Amino acid sequence: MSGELIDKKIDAMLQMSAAELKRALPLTLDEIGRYGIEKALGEAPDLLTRIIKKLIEVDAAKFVSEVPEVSDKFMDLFWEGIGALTPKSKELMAELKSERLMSVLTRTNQINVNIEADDSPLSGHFTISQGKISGGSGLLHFKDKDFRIFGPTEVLLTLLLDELALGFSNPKLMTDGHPAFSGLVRPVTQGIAKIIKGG
Amino acid sequence: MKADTVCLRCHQKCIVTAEVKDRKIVKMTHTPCIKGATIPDVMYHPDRLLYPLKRVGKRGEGKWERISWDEALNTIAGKLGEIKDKYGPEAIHISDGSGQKHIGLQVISIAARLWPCPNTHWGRYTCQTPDEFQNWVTWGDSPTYEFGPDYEHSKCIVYWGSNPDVATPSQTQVALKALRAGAKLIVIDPRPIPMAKRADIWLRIRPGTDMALALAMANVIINEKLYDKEFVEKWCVGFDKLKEHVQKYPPDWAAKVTGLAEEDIINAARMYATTKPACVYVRLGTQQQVTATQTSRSISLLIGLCGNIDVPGGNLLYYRTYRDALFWHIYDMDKGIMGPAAVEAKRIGAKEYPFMHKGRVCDIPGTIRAMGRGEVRGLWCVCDNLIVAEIGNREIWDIMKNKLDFIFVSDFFMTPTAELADIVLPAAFYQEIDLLVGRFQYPSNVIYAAPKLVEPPGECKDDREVAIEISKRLGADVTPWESVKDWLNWRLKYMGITYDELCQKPGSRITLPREFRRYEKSTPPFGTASGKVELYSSVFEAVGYDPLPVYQEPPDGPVSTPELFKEFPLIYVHYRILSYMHSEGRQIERQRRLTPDPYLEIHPEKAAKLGIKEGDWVCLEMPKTKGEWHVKYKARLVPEIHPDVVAGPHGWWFPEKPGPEHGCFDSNINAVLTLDPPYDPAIGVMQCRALLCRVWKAESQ
Repeated sequence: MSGELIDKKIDAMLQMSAAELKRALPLTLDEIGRYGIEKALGEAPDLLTRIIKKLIEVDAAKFVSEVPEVSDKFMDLFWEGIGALTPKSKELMAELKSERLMSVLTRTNQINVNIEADDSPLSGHFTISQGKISGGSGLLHFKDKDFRIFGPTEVLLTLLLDELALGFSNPKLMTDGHPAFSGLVRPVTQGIAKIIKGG
Repeated sequence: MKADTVCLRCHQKCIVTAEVKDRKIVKMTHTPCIKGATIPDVMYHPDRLLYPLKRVGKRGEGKWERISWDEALNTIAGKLGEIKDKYGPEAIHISDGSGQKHIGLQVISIAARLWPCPNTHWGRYTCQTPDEFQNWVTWGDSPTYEFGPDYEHSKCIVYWGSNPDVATPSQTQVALKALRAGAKLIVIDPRPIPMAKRADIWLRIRPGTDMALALAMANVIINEKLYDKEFVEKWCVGFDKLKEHVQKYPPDWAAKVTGLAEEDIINAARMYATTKPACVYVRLGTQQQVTATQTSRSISLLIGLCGNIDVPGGNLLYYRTYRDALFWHIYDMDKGIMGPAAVEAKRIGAKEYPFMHKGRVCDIPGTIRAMGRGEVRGLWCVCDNLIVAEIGNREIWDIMKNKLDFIFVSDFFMTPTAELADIVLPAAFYQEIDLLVGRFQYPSNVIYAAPKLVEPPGECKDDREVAIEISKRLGADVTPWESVKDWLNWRLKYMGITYDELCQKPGSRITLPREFRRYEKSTPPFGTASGKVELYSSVFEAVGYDPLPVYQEPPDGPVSTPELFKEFPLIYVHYRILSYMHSEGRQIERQRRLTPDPYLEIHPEKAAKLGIKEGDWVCLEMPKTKGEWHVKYKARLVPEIHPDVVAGPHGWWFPEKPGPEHGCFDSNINAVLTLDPPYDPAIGVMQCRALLCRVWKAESQ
């Protein structure tokens, strides 16, 4: 499998119905995993954005509820991809080394964020540490979590694209954890959206 | 031994001194009000609940049997488990009373996360929530609430619908110093509260028209170019829209609406805008109404226009202090601790009131009605005298008595609410447990540990421990809160200190850096959707609320319903009593002596027309429950009160009267109010002040 093929597969998926996508998406996510998400993103930088948009188009909550394995597969790939792309983004790296973030990280070492849908099994987590973002599928235990973003699946996916009206102030987007983290996490999610759009 | 401790008998959290002798608190000193002084009276009251009790007769029959804590907790967990399994976690409701909210809010946070349980409330949706909500969309903080005004450095203090001598006595001492130093004072209140008598301008407003006054003041401030141009241009959004909007609300219009003189409105606007710095304290006179959120917002806009935010002597960004320190303040916990997403989504009112949902507050009228329909089956009242303190208490009485599967109540005394419980738990008092307080009182930049001073009597227990123990019995993973000490340490976890270490520090406190104009050096400057002060609210616009406050008359009143006003020619408002906190304290003799009866304040001319003399018992009736129910008060003639207004106390009951009711319907306005619409569109609050009523002389008490 080549990057070009992955690109084509994604393009083909964009044309699929929800029923077709149910079969195709888990397999494609596996293939991307085997190929290497970093490599795939190098060749198709907006790959993750296209997948998210397709999920939103086919009713993401219904889709992930019916194909629950997509949650783990997607979240593992997504955060591995973000981890790889982050050092290449000057803007995001600047944010990760900003004074306001560093002043908190010197006290907390890292900021752990859970992402949890309330209408589907979609869940994941990411960790912001000095100059680095890492993450994956599933939720961190409450004791280890600093902040949580939760709400309807579509709202969470739209937030990852930074296309959610009002951002964290959107009435459908719920957050919890110490409120001080809100202002620190938001610029990071905005930076993530830029890099998955190829910015 | 003398020890400093914190009084939690109201919101203020005053630091007071306890004298301990023979393992008992014998005296309190440095107490700014009677509630602090009577702490030992509560702790050692002969009627205090000391042991867990199980109901053995019918609900409300008053037949109880003492049981062990093990039996109580196992029974509670068993019943809650059954309800959860059968009807889901949303079928359990936890209700926390206001006086004990500092502990109750922690209890709710623990239970919400561990049980889990999405439907909780802490007795504030009618009072604090609308103001807090508008503060959040306008400022991303809470500058207008009790802890926001920086009286000490202020040159102009505005009390808007607030009676600080009664509600915030310790802060009043600070304000009085500023007044003695020459600060100007504006009071907006239909009653001659003590501050009104000290005021440079007292606006004796018609209840329910505060928004008209605020919009007219904005009109004057903008049209006379008295606003802070630099602040508005740099830090606010929506000024042009606001400018255009307030042209509809000139002072001559507002004079007719509010009953105030046009000149007084103009002078108040000029005084607030030109006497810098100025601070505003907004409270219940503007709340408890279907326009509460927008009324508070209209007042917030004045602060923004004049740049009186986070400056010395202005309204401070209170939460910012605690957030910068990463301290888990109890009010941050309110939004910061929630259960699993799928459980949270089941909060009652999540769809109708999305911002209430986002703020972890369920729709209370909706929840009570859900109890009536059998959708909510279990109830824990944490020192919450729901039957006395909540609106529509006759309906709630019926629901609690006949509809709920299981009720348990923690409290200090047997209240009308506890009388309807299946299990009653004896709550430990504040000086009997370890406390961690983010100061609410001025200056609000202190974290204070107040460790247990004495052992609780009998088998009284910390409600936080009760919540954790129930969680364990429900099979929940209680990590990281295996014990109350773990919980306290968790609240300090980002601060690099444990509770025990904090107790060892001088004064058991940490004083946080208190800076000003923090928006100048933070990104975003304000915690709003735009990152700026939202004079025009993008959030409100997005959900279909008015992005700028649009004046609306109270649902019933001389303007809205003139025919009804002929039949019910008085306007009812509540007042607060220094000796009590809501429904608490009536059984404490030294407190009761100060205010032995429920007094209805009435203008002498109105009283004379009705044949009412000082001290007569009078009946009061309202349109919605006309002919069905009325309540009784003792008349107090007040010459300076607004002539159309009568004012009564809130949450009155008579512990000395026979149970189970203990007179909870006799002199309690909640017995003639209902949970029926209309509601504030943002918060779901009913109209529970600025209400039409009629009064007549009672034949007997």
